[in-house]
Amino acid sequence: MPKSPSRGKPLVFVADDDPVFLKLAVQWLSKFGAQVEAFPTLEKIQERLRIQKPQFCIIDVNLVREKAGFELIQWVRGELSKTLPLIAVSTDTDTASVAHAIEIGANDYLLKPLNREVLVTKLQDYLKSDEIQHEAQGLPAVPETEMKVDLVLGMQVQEIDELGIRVLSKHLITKGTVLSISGAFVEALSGRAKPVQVSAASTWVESAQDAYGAYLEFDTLDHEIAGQVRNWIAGKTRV
Amino acid sequence: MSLKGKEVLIIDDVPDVRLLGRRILENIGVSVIEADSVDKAFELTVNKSPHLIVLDLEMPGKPGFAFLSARREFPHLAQVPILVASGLSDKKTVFQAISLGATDYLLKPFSAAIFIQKVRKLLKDVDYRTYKFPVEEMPKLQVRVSAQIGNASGTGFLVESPVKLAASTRVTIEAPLLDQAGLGNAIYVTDQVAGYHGASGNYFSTVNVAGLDETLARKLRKLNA
Repeated sequence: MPKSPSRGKPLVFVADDDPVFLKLAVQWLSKFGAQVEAFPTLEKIQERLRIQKPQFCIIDVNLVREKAGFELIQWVRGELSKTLPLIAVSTDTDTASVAHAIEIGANDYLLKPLNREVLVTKLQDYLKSDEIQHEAQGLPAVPETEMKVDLVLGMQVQEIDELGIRVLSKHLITKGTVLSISGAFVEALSGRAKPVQVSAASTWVESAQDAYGAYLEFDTLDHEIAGQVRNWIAGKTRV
Repeated sequence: MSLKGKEVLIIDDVPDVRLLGRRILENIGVSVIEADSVDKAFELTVNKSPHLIVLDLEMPGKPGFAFLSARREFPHLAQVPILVASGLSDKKTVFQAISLGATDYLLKPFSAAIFIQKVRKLLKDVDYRTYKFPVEEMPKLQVRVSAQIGNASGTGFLVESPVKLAASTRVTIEAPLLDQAGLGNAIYVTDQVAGYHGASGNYFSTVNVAGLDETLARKLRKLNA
């Protein structure tokens, strides 16, 4: 992997067709001591990436064309590098795109309007992790001697309806993943101690909480649960 | 439009009318509950909450009008649309039912096609009920997902899962083999560099054992064997 020209000056690429965003990002990152290159189109940054890899890449999700940023992320992950830190950028109203960008390989996200503190903090974080990765000789490959385990993750319930649950989580769940949920709330809801099966139907970013949101849909074959949830909700409004 | 999970309450004193209504509605995927009187209907809705109520007017004991006027005092019933199904066709009755809050009026005897059409239309306007928790009351949820671990080192191991784990966060990992290895009670914390995206579509995260001592480190290294 080509190193940046000088170890002290990290090379950062920014791809966005919004000139105001580009100008701001370049200004702030330069002030922070980065060497910044700006690209207004997908083709321009691809051309440049083929020649040299930066330490850090900021990509607009809607680069000229809608969702073209996704193509760029997939291209980088598929053909260029699994580890190059990619930051997806979107407007604060399009949080589902950001979650999708992370699902297909972006490491993190920024929301417009751009916040200087957030931008600089992310850059610092990823430069630090870049060093850690270099020390660790890159990331490990596919696990050897695999052992099946269960991860048990704590989440919070924001909202519930008859078809599913909206949760807030520190972790991003890939869309389509089958999960089982349990805990005192699920017991109160279903009246059974058994866990309830759900699948992640959609995901988004909850930027205010620095977390992810997910809508976990109940199993369509579980006819009982919809009725149980309906009665539980009615009970809440009955009081 | 999906009628999945939608529930209709039929209030009618004639068993045959209830049965006919049930047959028609179950045929289009709607589930049905029945009450043979106004009192029974109120009793039933203490712990059942239908999306739509089909109400007869002429019943022994309390008439259907009693249900229409009394339900306003129950917040969970006030929002439920009511389709009145009655043999009474005089304008005065229809007007009275509508002014007491009936959503629509269906004249008996009715054909299955018209009944279905009315029910569909009314159910379409009913949203699935939603409850939003106030921020300070959001319940905790335990979410379990299958994963694989491998590449055990002296300090932790690599986790492959469909979840991009947050960095530097405590996670619970459960497996009979971990218990057997004496690592059942270990505290696992994700690494600073977590959530690397792999070609399989899964994420790889390094997880370290917190409070590592020589005994735990030995147990960890044994996992690879």
